[in-house]
Amino acid sequence: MNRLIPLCALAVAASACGDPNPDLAYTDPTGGALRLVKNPSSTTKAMVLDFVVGDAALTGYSTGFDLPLDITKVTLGPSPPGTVLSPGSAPVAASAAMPGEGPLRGVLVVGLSQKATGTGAVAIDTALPPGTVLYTVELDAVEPRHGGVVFDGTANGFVLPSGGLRNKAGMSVVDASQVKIGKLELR
Amino acid sequence: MGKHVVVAGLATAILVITSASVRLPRPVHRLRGELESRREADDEHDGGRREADSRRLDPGTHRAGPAELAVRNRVALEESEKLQHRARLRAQAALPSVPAATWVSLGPTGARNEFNGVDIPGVDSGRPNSILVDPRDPNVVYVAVSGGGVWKTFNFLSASGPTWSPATDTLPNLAVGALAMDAANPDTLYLGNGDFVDGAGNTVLKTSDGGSTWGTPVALPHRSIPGFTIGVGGVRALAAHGSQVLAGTDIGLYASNDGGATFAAIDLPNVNDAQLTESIWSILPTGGGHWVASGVHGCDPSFGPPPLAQGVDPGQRDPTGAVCAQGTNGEIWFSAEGTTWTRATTPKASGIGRLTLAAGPTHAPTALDPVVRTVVYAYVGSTDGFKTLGFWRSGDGGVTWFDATGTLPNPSLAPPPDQGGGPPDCQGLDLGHEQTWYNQAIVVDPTNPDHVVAGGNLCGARTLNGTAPSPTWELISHWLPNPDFGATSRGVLPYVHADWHTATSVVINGTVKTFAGSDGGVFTSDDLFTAPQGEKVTWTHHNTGLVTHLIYALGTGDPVNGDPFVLFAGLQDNGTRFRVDPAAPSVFNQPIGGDGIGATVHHSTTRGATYWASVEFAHGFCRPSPTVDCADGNNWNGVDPKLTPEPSPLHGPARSQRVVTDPGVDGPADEDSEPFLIHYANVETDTTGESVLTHTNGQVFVSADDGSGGLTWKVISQDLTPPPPPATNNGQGFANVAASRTIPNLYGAAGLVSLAPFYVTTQGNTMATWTPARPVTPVPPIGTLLPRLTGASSIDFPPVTPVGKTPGQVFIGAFAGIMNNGVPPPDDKGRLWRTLDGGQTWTSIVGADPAHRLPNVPVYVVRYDPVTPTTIYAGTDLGVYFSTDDALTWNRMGDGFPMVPARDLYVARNQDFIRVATYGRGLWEIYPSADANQGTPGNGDYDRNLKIDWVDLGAMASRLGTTPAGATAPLYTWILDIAGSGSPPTQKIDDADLSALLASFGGLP
Repeated sequence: MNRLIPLCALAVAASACGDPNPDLAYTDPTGGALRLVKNPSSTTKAMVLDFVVGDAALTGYSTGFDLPLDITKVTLGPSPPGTVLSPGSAPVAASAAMPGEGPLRGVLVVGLSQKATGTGAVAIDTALPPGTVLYTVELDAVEPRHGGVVFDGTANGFVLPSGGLRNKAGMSVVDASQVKIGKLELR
Repeated sequence: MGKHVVVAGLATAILVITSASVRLPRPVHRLRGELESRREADDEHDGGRREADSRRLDPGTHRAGPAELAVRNRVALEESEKLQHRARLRAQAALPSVPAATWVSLGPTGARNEFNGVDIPGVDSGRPNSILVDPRDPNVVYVAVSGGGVWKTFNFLSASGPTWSPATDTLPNLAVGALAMDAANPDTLYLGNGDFVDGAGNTVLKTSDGGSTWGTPVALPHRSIPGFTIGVGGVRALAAHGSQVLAGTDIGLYASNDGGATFAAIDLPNVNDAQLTESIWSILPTGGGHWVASGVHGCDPSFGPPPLAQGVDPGQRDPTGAVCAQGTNGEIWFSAEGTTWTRATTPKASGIGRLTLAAGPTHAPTALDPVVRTVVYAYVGSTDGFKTLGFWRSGDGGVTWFDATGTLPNPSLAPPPDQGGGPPDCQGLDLGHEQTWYNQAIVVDPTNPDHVVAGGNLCGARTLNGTAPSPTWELISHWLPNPDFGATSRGVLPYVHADWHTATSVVINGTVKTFAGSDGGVFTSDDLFTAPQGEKVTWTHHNTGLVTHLIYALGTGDPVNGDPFVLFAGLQDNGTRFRVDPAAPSVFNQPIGGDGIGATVHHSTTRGATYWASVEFAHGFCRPSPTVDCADGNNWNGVDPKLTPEPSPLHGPARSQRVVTDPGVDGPADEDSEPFLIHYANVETDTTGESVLTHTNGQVFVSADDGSGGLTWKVISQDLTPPPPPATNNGQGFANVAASRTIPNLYGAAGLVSLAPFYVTTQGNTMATWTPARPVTPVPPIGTLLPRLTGASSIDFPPVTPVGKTPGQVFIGAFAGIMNNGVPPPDDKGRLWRTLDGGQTWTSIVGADPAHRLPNVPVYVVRYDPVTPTTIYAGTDLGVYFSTDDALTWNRMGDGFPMVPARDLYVARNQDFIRVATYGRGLWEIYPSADANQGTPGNGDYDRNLKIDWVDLGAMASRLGTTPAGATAPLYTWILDIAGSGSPPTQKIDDADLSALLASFGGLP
């Protein structure tokens, strides 16, 4: 097959193909019992997103989501869990990953739970006021940066494969349809 | 029915096991019990056989027919919904009446040693029907097995062996007959329910995400043929290409053009232009949208599909005595698009039975060359299924066929006389022997149409010049890799477990890797077509962690006796597996080969413990001591009941071949014989003696000291073969025997004749006349017929005789069959009944409340709790159910038990645990103490979607500190117990498990 030369490489006007060195930009979602929102510390190269409780208080024990995204455009930076829903320690019952292989390849996988026993254990469900930060993830732009959508939770037909909040008994408090994701792009 | 001929098996095996006192460690090989009459084999001539019409020439196999399958599918769905409802209630702490406990998978996950007279260099698992490799990633392999669902690995090529995960444990039917992948979209797979000989099924399920989730089961529609309607009992072959899905079943070919959402039957053309019903064995793409398929047709339109075995040629009488006008012969069809099919021209039209096909590299037709050039081979069985005739080859995609049997220059040698002698196992290309109907596999090198491998009963063979006029075949495997048994003149053949069922061949990094699926699980070879000679081929097993075993019965120690770790079981063609080491508690050695069946433990204050195990037609025992390890096959001894008249061990028909005759022919002193499925019942009340019950086909025996340090059998019943007057039918033996755990001398037997489904004695080890129970009749008479339940499977007595009753008057009887008019019993009658008058009258005890009723499916085992008389356990086709209110209400017991048949069940004397043997998913345990040994190591995939994410993390972290002894939600679950706790490992979810899960977070289980 002949190698195709990207049209943009031949374009004279950058506006015709987008910014040659685009910035990360995130559009917050609207609504959602849980939502992924922009943290003010974000930069043009490092988008910091907070996974937060929406406008209504919740009570739960574990949370997380699986978010498909374009892993050619971003990498996972330092991503600490929140403290209100405490994951304890040794080990910390929280993790964020962006696998490059396996069934969750190309998915931002975030999970956090309180621990029933062990260091920092919390035996019961915890009340989560509106705005509680459950997890903070940082997505760093891959250099050289190329324009395009990293993920778009606002698009018609978008379905979050998995996500929500569960209580200690394992029952769903918030399901994936109530988790709202915004739009991250390089533009 | 007239004479009932029990079909013979392998001559070598028979010679080994027919001596009166056989040493069990000798190699024993399975004989397909399905041709042996067993629990559903009612011999009355009435409408009862109609239900099984689709398999009506397959005597004795208990397989659900269309009406029973319809009930099973419905009930399984209802039970699934109940489970989901229960989970919700439990989470809300609103379920006080149902004990909060969870099942633990005990394995077997592996073996340190397998012994079948010789050491076997491998680990075996259950019977695969399909093996598929993801063309994008050879580390991704799927195995579909006969009773344990679909398993998947993501690291097949790992140097330490694959890590297998069950991908279907939450589905309603784990009997899988076929699995197909859409090659253009390898994450799309289709699963066909219904094993070809065991668990039935008639549904197809689809996954679009590599088995993480499965769609709703789609039932294949019934077919109407003159005289009756037949339904699918098993899906034997599947093929998918885009939205086109073809399903080959035991009653014909079905096609879907909407991605498996709906299926319609395709009526294939038949010999003499007759409209016959076919059973399908193979469906293969041959390129360019073309297909080829093989199957066997029925006798005539009114006969329905053919039997699995005992087929006949045109004009001959089938085993029922009816003339089979068209015969039941193999046919091959081809199609250019999968809808319109044409009969192929084959070398023989009669004399042939089951055919299994394999296609070589695809040479799709083009405009310039419209002929399909794909080479296709056929493994050719005889009409009756008892012989492999050879192989055929087609060079045009299956349109025309030629003989390609050729020659075999390296036959195996005869065993030496001191090892039993007899003919060689594989002296020619009759690879399938008497089991050709059962074991066939063939596959072609995807890079070279000359390279073919075929597997049958005891050996596999390859050819490297398959397209030659007379190909040269070479043996490339043997079931006993030992100079005494598996040798040729050129060396010793490598091991692949007996009874090949499927094979596939793929190219991985330029190397052709060939998979063989046999009764021992999954084996591969990378040099099958490159090794300089067949004896140099190397095989590797991949069965560690593949807990798919088909288990008939378990023998277990007991906390009260101080040996709770002791656990062994009888497995279909995987011998007797014996747990060996608390440090590796899911590892079970194999001290005895063949078809492991019965198993029990007896404790005597004078002699200590005795372990009993059985294989087909033979009994064996081992007495453990500090110097006698019963995990070692050399320490087991054979002792069989002495029959009167005792058959000659070496002359005339072997015991298994003997003809059980009508009393009217040979008189009431009917000859007795050993059954294929030998059961035991421990006589727990005999605390000083040696009493264990067993049975032949006609009588019950009890073990006793032989006076010289060994054991012998003593007959304690009359010949139970003939049912009581006025019927004169010939009975067909036992489904099971039982002994009261608390009331001395109270024994029972479950028979195979619905006119006398149970027998009871209160005379213990004294020879006595056992009292027959009357039939169980769930519905009022229909005309002159009073339908009765068939397939009595289990009997048990309450631990305390109710006030006003005498021992033997009160007992529960369980049934695995339906009524003898071919109709399942009503849901409110079901398969579990109790008598209060010694079997004269019966009352259903499945429960009145539909929300808490015992499911209307086969019940294989019933047990009273040994301590609490109002607690009863039932092992059913869908798992374990129990009642704590003397059978007024029933609930599914515990969490995490797959919907798989529970065939045997033991309740510890102090109620510490319950252990269950399943037919497809190994051994399970519930209510163990907090420090019980860890079972099968979990993989962290709580929701069984083959991904480790937040759901699994939350499930794990919220269960930290739990053990199986816990009763507060969230409950311990074995799948999250990855690492074990302590040494030897015990069952507890702790930080080590959490760390292990975090290490694979975002990845694979």
